[in-house]
Amino acid sequence: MIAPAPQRPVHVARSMTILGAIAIGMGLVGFLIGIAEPVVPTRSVPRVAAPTAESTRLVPSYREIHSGVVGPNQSWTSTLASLKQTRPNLFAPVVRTPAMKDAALRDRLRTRAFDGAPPVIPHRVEQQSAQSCLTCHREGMQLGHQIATKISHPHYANCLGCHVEQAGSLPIASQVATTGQPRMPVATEEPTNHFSGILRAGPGTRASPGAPPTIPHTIHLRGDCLSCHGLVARPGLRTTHPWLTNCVQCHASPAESDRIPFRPVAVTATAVQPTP
Amino acid sequence: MADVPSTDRRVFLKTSALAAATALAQGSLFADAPQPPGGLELPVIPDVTWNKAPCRFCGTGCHVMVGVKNDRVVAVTGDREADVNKGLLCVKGYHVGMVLYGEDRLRTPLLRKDGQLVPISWDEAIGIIAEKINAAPQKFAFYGSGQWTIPEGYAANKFMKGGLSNNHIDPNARLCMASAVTGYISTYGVDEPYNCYDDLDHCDALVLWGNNFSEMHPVLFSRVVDRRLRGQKVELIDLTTRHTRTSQQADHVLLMQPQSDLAIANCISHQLIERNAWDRAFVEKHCNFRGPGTPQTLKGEAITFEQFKQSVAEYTIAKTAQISGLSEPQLTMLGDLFADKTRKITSLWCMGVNQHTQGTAINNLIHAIHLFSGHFGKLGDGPQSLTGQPSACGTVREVGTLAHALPGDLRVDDEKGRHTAEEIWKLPEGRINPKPGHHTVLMWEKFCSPSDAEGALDTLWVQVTNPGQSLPNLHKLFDKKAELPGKFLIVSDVYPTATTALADLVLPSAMWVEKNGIFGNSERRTQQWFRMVTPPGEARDDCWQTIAVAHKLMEMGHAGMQDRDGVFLFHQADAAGQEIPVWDWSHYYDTNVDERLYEEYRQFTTIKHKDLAPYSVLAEARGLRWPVVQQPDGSWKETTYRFIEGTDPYVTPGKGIQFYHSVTQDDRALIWFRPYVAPPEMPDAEYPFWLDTGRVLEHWHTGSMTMRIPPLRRAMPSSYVEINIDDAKRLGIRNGEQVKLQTRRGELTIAAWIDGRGSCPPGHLFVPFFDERKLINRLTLEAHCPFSKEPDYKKCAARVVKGVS
Repeated sequence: MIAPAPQRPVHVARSMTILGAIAIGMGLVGFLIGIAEPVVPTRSVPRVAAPTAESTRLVPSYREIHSGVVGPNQSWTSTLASLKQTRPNLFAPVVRTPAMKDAALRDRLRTRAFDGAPPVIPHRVEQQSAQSCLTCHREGMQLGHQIATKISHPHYANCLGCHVEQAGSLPIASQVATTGQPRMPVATEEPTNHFSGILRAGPGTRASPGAPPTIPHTIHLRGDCLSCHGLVARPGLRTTHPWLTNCVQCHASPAESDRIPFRPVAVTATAVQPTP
Repeated sequence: MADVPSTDRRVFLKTSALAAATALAQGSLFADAPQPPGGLELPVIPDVTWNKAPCRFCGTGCHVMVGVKNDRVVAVTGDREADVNKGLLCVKGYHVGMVLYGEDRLRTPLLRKDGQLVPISWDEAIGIIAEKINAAPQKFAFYGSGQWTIPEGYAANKFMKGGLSNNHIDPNARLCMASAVTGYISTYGVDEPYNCYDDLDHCDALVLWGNNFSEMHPVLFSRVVDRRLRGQKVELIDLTTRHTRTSQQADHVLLMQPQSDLAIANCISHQLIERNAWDRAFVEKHCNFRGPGTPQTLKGEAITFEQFKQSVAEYTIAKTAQISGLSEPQLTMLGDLFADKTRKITSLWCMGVNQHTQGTAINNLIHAIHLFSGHFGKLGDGPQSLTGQPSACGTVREVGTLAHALPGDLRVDDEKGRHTAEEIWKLPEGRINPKPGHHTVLMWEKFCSPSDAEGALDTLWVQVTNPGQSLPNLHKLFDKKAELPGKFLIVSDVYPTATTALADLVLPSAMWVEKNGIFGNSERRTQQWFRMVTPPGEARDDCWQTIAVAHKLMEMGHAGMQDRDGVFLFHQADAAGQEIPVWDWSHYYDTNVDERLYEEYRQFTTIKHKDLAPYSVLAEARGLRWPVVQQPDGSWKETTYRFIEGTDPYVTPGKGIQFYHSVTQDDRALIWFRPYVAPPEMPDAEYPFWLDTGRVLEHWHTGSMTMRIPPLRRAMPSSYVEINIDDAKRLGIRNGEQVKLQTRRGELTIAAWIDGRGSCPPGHLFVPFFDERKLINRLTLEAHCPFSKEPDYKKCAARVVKGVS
């Protein structure tokens, strides 16, 4: 037995018709908007912006400033394939040749005035807080061939006190690119400096063939060996045995400058705390 | 890029991208990264010897370990055993070794002939200086700095005051911390902080008075914020006129109107009274009240608590909110903070407070709120000023290289002080001139006045500083020299600067580890280092230059260069009693002149209980905080906290806290009232903006050193004007656009930076002063604090003009 369909009141039916018409109308409008010029701006290559429209525009808003300049790092090439990230496998065999090691050491020097100088920042800095640095550098991160190294001294919070960018956030450089005119040519002048520092501390020594090598460099501010030697690091410097985590158990004898040749004065240095 | 032929946009973009990619592939983006000379094998450099030195730059006084190989500095690292920095440095410190190796180091004396600087011999140069001085000794002035080492400053001071009977010697530290000095002296009766950096490890709240701590003292800032990573709670309260990198880490950013710090401090005292939260026991035992007097004076006048209460009563929360632009809850929060006895509060300040036309007053008031609330004398609980130069405390404040001072906190206008100095220097009575000389602003005004004007100076010798960039109102106080005949400017420096541009004689100096040295940092710590490398070319120690001129003057017959026994002022003898000719460069390092001058100077330091350690003890230490007092076992012990029983050996047992140099001579400190006084120049219809000047992390002061260090210069390649985004919108100024800044004194074309390193509130501008191509001090005001004579670089009225091609 089929129950008779309930009679709908006339006014309900009418409003259904109107609603349907509205829905179709909105869909049509949406479609037309959709096929029109996209309003979403495409991301430009950082610091190389279109000269014409840009140069006549007034000052950008906060949002515009940031969308204009926040982009991939300078040395970034974004192809979808390179974004694919594989989980580091502790037990995968590590291939490391002397050539790879030298390449890695050379690469390190690109951002250092000498071995032991804090590396400069090879990308632009938009956010100045430690948190923003640590977003990538806390645990280290690898995207394609790009590596954000893990911080080797996580007990320091004032990142930009030691590490400075080299591209410069100052908008002057970008203005040159934008307008094609060197507005401040002096800004790009390089000072000549004849400083020539230590380039490399090592290599370490081995007591006998096959014995673990000593640590050839200072370990001050390099407390976390994995920063350079872990799985998220330059391939030429990676450890071949990442599953062993107590590095200094086998690799000993840090460099000379960790053993200070000066001793503090033999007298009482500080000590007594003041009393209220 | 201007000469790039007109390519269309697409080609331009393509070329740029290609160039970037190529640069990247070649690794040349960081072109100056040391490139190993050929082959894959990187050179290994063994045999590096390491030695200690304080950093060359700021007043923090970090210790560095300097690696030297083949007479060259090859590496620098933070000194792990230094109390100050505990192994850490800032980016300037890590690259400090590079200051020695800029391409254009001055290597030979240069004399201006027909408008050109031409090389001359040292003998000739020393002879010229001596002749100029000998011709008119009282029209000569010596302008130095807080970068003088202690022996250098001591030699210069003795040469001027003890030799020439001329008190026209002043340092650039006058532009930097003179207000802190007058603040300490008028509050405690003696200069320099009673406390030390240890407070940073223990405070619960840190109040920053106009101090961009993060960029100006990065290592100390780290010392505070790193505590947060260890799970400690430190509340950062940033009282500031612009949003800085420090503000980013602050819990409270209190954006105040310029100069309103005076009102805010008084409002805190007022709230403490209203809440009955001031520390009655502490105040009754250790403090007196002091009012400004009418008109205000440095010494003020004694007032009662009732008078103090009435004076601060004017600074209600409502009224102070109006003056300062802070909200009432923000002011209440400050009142809550100081009323809370359970929390340890450290106040820090630097240029915002010192470079202030009411600099002494605001220094007085910060001390006052700490004393009045009892937030004083406990670990982490007290006020402390910071300095900007490595030896502003050591060489300027302690050695007394100021127009009115003598070593050991003595004064030239005090008969007893002069007598003491004359005794130590073995001078005939009356040698020292009782009239204070010209302070910095006056000195340069007099040098830039026609020779026949009253008090005019004709010959001026500048060592270790760059006044052609750092003086305020440069047109008036420096540039004018070029138009005046008969003016002779001598500059000892390491690089060409804005000052050498007008110099008539340029002397190449040795710097930092190219010479022996001693600095005194912000926390009373005296730090010694040895010469480690040879200076370039014919560069020589500043101290030698002074001694050589003194000796030449003696040869010319100037009686002042001898003591009362006819002995040369800087006479040194070997063990056999034979004179060592230290005025002859080839014999200067036959002995350690630094050690000898320092040991002579040490006699002064016990006068006001600022006892310094013997040189040999200092050489073994990473700096020691004075008073350094010998113990019964023969060892030497430094003092972390002065005036506090248990740490300061000069406190009478049982006293607890004793201000033993008290102004009122009753072992009490003064709680000052000083009124809010409006700044001398404020924005108006014609010049509607506030113009503030200052520093950035990467560059040290005038940038003559750091702008020659590639990694630092690349990080901050040029100066800029920070402008608020709303103002920029209103004026149609784009980010990076060149604009013209104008004040009543000068103008400057400079790029605008919106929401960059820092952010100004509407109506405010900020320009760093490190860039010699952008001399912002042509625009600043030379108005100064009536007591400290320190100019206000932080406030003047300016306007911005768009439309610079």
